Amino acid sequence: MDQLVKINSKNIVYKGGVDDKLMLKYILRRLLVTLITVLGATVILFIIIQFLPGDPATVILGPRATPEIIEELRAKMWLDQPVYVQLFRFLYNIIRGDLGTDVLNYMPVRTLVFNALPHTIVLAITSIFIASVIGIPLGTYAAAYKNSLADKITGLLSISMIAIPAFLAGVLFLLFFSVYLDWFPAMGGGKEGDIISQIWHLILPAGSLALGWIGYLARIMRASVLEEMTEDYVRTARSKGLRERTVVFKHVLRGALIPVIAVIGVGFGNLLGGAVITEIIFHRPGLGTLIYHAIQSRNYPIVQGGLIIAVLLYSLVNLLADLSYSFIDPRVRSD
Amino acid sequence: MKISKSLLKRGLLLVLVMALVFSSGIVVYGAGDEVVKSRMRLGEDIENLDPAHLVRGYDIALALYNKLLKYKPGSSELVNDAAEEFNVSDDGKVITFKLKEGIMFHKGYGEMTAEDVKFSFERIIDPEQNSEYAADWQTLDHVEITGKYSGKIILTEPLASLLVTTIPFTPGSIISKKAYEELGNKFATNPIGSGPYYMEKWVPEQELILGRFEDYFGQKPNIEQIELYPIGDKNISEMNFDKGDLDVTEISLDSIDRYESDSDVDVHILSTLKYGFIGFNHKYAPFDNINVRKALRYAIDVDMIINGAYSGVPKRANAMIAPGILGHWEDAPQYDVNLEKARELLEKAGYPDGFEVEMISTSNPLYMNTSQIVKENLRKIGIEVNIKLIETSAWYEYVGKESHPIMFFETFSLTLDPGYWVEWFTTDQVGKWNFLKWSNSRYDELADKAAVTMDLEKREEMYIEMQKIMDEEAAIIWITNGAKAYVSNKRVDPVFLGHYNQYRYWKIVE
Repeated sequence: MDQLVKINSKNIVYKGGVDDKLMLKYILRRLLVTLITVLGATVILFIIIQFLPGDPATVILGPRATPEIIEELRAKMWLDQPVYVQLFRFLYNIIRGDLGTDVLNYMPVRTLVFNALPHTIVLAITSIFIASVIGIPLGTYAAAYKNSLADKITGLLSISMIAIPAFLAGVLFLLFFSVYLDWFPAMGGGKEGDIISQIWHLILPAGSLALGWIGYLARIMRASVLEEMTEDYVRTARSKGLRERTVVFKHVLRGALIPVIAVIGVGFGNLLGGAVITEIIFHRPGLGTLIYHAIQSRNYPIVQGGLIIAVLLYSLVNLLADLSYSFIDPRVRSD
Repeated sequence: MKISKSLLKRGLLLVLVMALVFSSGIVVYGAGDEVVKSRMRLGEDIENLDPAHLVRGYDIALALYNKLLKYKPGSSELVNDAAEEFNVSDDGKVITFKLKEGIMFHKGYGEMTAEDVKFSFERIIDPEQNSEYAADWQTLDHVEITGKYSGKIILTEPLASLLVTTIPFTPGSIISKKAYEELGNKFATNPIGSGPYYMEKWVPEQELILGRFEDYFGQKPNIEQIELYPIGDKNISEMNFDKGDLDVTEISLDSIDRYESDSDVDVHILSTLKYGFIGFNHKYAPFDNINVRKALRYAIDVDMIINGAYSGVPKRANAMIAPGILGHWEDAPQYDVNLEKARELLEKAGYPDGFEVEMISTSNPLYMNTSQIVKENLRKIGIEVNIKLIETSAWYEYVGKESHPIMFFETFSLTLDPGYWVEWFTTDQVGKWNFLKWSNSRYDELADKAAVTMDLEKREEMYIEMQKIMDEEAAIIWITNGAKAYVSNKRVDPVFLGHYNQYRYWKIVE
């Protein structure tokens, strides 16, 4: 609900009508904020990684490492330098588009990250898509028939879905739809270059990741529609003699969608988090799997490179979500 | 098409449309699938396949590279691999070899010559390489080329492990000199050997495909492709196996019963090259007191740990070196639970009311369960164990640097050579991998001596004596050498060496 209040207050700021200049200024300001956020997050993450217990040389090399090998590895990760030098070099390299090199096999981290990234983005977008396509109509329907039996059932279903964590849904889906019914493949991201195989491999992981979001979006949509129905323009529309269905689906829906979009924006980041476990369960390639394994083996360059891309992605999605309000809400448009 | 049918029955319009679209995809997927392949779980993804640096993926290296000698299928007996002749001089310092002619390297890198052997071995002791295997070749002076296919390996001292874990294993891999010089660092992920399989494709974190090398000089395997999937979680890979997506996978020990009742599945129980033990640091009271250590030995129920934490699968170990490895101490005494004796010993040590102590564990169920059993066992003699959970990667740092008495359960991965087993309890390793911080000069002396003793009987005696010393000092509580379990379907006949997969000998059964 916090989100809802925040968004509405933003609307009020621009309610008087937004001209293009103001919009541009707003976009620029948001861009700047995003940039600062990314920079800040990068620095914080970098520092946190420094405090991770466990010497990477020990973890990576095991008992075979001689002091010379350990020294070499530490040098490769710049661990022999002061933290501020490491940070500076890291930031400088990022600006040049260099995310570093995997210390074990000399592969550029950029290659590893950008090979994994599309899989994660596709997974998250598909999940959001599934969640929206099912959750939004479900919530709208529940609001339109408030307090009916259907509304109550929808409510119960939504809460149940929210209560099931994605990893549990993943395992259950895997057992039921893949092992037991044999409808879907159980592992992998699909054959390279074969779109249909890839989509086929996407359904279960995206579905399990979407499940909680279906419930969540349905609840938010219901609340949002109900709130929107109390607005003056709804009364006007009704008094003009419009049918209730037209009022709800044509007018109310647009305004009610704004908080949902905001939630989706923020939710995309959470989805990236949930995707880690989902990717592991379904043995899917992706940013989550990449970072997870890199943390386990203390392969710092991959952890850092992967995380900064994740932060960038998260900030970008939030930026886009923020900017999209104005295109959806008629009150934000200049009229 | 089974998929679309089952969906049709359910009459779900939306799903039906999707199924129609996707089932056509499956046909496409299946159509190109003419190669004979086997799909298999790989515990963790490979990182670096250069034999001078690989610390994971030994199984893969066994398939990619030829050595002068190799292990016979499923046995520790050595036979010639790339070598046609192989002789060790009486003093153990000169090894003469002659390569088979016509051994080709993968991907068109030409024929293997003595030059490649020289390059492969000397590279490992080159300080610039900083190879993890330098110690395995520690007494190598140089390799002398005496002909296109022949040469001499000149050693400064004989080295007993040379014929166990160096020449027939990873550090003995012969790589293409030309390929390494061309590829440099890229060799790590583009390995060029001459083994029956070559690395066809690697998608990090997703799959590794080994393709059959059609110009392989020996008997070619009948599997054309082995697809390996880095699936970390055994439960997940069991599901994939059940579904038929994998032909072979490692399973958790808990699942053995389930698969043994399935006639379509072969279960392979392998002993691991590991030791699992309860350790305590000898530097601090109360563990510096031998009577305390003896009391623990009588109080900790090893069988209960094997049943509770290892699902009752592996055999109990009473000493360090596992059966089948040189130096196994067959008659090692077994200390069964005797609480009365344990209490007496504690009293003798000056702790009649017991004491409180920290035991560290990772969240790995094996470690957690063992720690909990130990806690319950020791409570009976008045010792209060506080279990502290530490993340795996941080565990080593903690156990290496702690400055107070702690207990821990640990397993350690080893090789086929006993020298590698005993090494981790020497004084040299205190502060590194000797987590016990136990030190015994006679033990150290024997470890050094055994490493250069070529007479197998004498070497064996020394290793047994070392284990006797540990036993007398109650230095450690051995639990087991562990076990691993694999399942395979009837299509594939897998072959193992210890717990390593010998992919080169795997067969499709048809």
